[in-house]
Amino acid sequence: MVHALNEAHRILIPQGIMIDLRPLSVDVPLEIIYQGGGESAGMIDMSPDIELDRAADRAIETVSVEQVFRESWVESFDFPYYWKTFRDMKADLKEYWMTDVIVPDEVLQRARILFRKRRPQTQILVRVQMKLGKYEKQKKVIVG
Amino acid sequence: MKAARDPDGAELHHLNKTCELKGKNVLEIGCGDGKFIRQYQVMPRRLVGLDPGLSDLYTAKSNLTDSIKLPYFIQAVGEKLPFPSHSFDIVIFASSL
Repeated sequence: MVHALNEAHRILIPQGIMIDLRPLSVDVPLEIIYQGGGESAGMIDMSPDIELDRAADRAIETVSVEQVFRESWVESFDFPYYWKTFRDMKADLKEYWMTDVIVPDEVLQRARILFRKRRPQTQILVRVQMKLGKYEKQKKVIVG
Repeated sequence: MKAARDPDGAELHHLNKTCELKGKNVLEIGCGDGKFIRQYQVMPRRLVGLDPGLSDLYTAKSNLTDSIKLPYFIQAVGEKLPFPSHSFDIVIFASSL
């Protein structure tokens, strides 16, 4: 990761900007939303990727300490995923998120109960937390 | 994916709020199948999407919408960028750090 950041430093112009945009390993609720409201079925465990998250943070810290980049802005925001059916959500979980998240059985069961209440415009919602960091290129370069 | 992903464009909104893409030379590292790059492809002066996955890059290219400004897609890894020094204004690590 530090190598990639140093490569980014190399190809950037002197006033260049590096953006770190990625999902955070922060547990989030599995929500059932409907016209006029919403309810949480419980929390989704996002911890399986936490070591990757920490490694990325360490790489950013390294290049900041070495004055390769200087942090100028960091924020987090919601990145929502909406499903209209349980089947679609489970298919996506299996195909795309199998190694990234853990949805406890009791959370799935509660979500199914809430979903079956058939309130108008019912959907399943997961709001993944994203990080957006903006870093300005500095003059110093790590050697080696 | 069967989900509606970020239908209101929060990701692009936050990126736009943070930096000006218009008229810039932009590299997105980890562009995957181009879902994000397509959202802002008309803004930069030059836009390059980079990813190690060739099948994702084929998908990215085939899913491009008609535009006078089309991004370039290149197979490479972030640790060895096939570009000369000082060639981009903005580098975006898109879920790739």
